[in-house]
Amino acid sequence: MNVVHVARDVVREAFASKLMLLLFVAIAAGLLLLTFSLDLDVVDGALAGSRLFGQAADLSIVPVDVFLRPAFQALAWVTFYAGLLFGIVATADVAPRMLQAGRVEHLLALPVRRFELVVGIYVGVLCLCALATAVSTGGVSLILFVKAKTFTVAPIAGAAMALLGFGAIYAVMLAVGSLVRSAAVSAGAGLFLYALGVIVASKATIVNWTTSKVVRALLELVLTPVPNLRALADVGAGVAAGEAVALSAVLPVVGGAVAFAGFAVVVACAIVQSKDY
Amino acid sequence: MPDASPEPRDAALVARGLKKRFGATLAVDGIDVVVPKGARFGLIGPNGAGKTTFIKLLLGICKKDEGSVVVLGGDPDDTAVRRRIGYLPERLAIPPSFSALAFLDGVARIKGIPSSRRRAEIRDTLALVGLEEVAWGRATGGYSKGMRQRTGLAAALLGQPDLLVLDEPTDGIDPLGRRQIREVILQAGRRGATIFLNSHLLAETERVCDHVAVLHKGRVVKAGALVSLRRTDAFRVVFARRLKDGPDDDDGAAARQRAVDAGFVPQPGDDGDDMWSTSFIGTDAVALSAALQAALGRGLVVVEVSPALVDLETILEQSMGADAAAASTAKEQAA
Repeated sequence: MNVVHVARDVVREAFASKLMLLLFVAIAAGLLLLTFSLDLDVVDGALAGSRLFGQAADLSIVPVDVFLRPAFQALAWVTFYAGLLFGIVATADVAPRMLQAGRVEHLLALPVRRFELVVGIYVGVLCLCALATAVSTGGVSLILFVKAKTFTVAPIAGAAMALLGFGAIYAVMLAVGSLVRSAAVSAGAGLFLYALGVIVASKATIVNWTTSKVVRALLELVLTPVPNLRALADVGAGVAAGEAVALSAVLPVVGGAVAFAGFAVVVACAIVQSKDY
Repeated sequence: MPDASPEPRDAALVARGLKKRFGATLAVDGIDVVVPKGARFGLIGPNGAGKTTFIKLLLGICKKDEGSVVVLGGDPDDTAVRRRIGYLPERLAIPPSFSALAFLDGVARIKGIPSSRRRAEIRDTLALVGLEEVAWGRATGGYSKGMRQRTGLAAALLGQPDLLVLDEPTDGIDPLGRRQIREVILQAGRRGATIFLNSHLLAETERVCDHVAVLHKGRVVKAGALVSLRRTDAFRVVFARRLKDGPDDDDGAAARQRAVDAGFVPQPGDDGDDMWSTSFIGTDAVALSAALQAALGRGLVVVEVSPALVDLETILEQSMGADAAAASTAKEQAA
């Protein structure tokens, strides 16, 4: 229960911050822009014509759900890559702020166990990001439902991959933030992992750049546990577009990210548990 | 310096052989302290004596290297024990975007105060610590230092804790506000709560506490009931300037001489307009009575007799001086 109380404080404090306000204003503005700029003529479930920013789209008549697939795919990618970047910047100071001198002593003297504090911060941040993701993708789905008379939760399900990817990144940011209590270092760790997670999809190419067996082994060792963000983004885009996704392909990517996040959270708990404040 | 009484089972807090090292610095060097239940315990000492580290060790915020701590009969890491503790850290950082109500709501939830009385208790506590009602809903980022301190004190008082640990509670509060805070602390004490106070304001510690420990270089150099620590081996006896049968315009010289003859030592710095102070050296009440009888027999008028007490500043100075002398002797012996 204390995890919920800590998470609640994290969310409440974040909503009072200007950056989070900016995020939700940006989402609302984007949704409004889409509402007023997109005009779809749907006849019997098929797209008879469409206009974006007043320009007629040169399209033959297609079923509306088929027409929307690339849009949902694009939305999934934007949510994933841009959302992750914004999330890293916006949440970098959460853990250092919660663990700052004068605040952590007070929290630790309350009936909160140290691991509850860490997990509470993690859950609070994920709740914030889940909310932002749900509002943006849910808003788009709703607008398209009004405009095209077709509703799907696929974009929201696709965006869950972005949340999963962020969960892995934030777990590392939390561990680093617990250790050094610096927002800048925490953000740096997040951005580094973000970049690593994107390029890890080309692990074979990277490893083959060198002929040295030692360096290869070292690269393998470093890159193997890194969550494959590009693969996660592709899975998310596929789900958003309503494509059939093979479970055998999804499970290792998703499982890897979850295991990585879990391990990093355990490390963060161990750091906080062993520290003097 | 171990405090032999009371027995630990009657104690709110027991620390035995507590040690904490930060790198090469021994911040806490084998502290033994017993704080009786319901006591108002004051921790005093110079800057860097290890007072805040000691408090953090007691609450499990810092990990001890050696020794043991029992708080309210249990382990300070036990959440059931911590539910019964109210703590105000030295520099409490309240999220600036939170109002006092929002901050205390979070604290009350964690302390497990039922929702049915949470709101009322928060409001009552804020009123108790003297935070103006118009400020309750405002962001604490705009609060003065004193207002933040009052909010922190309210957080510590929530849930009516059995042990109240206050690290510089009146820091940043004006003299009148200090008096109000002191009354709030004493009120908690009257309710039966044990008070553990760390304050650099010795007069405040003297007014609030009934037990004191002096910490110097990570060690307790003096501890005990305040009344015992303040007592000296003398009595203060105040005489009227005029003699029982003397003239009204007597300058007191005759009376003074007679008092000296009776065995009293004049204390000129403590004189009043129509009376003057003396000391009677010794703790034997029978000898004091005999001296007083001799004084009365000489026509002196006794105004007041009380044990001669020293203030905390003197106790602190004496303790540190004695500790420095002991350290110097130990060094010489080692050499």
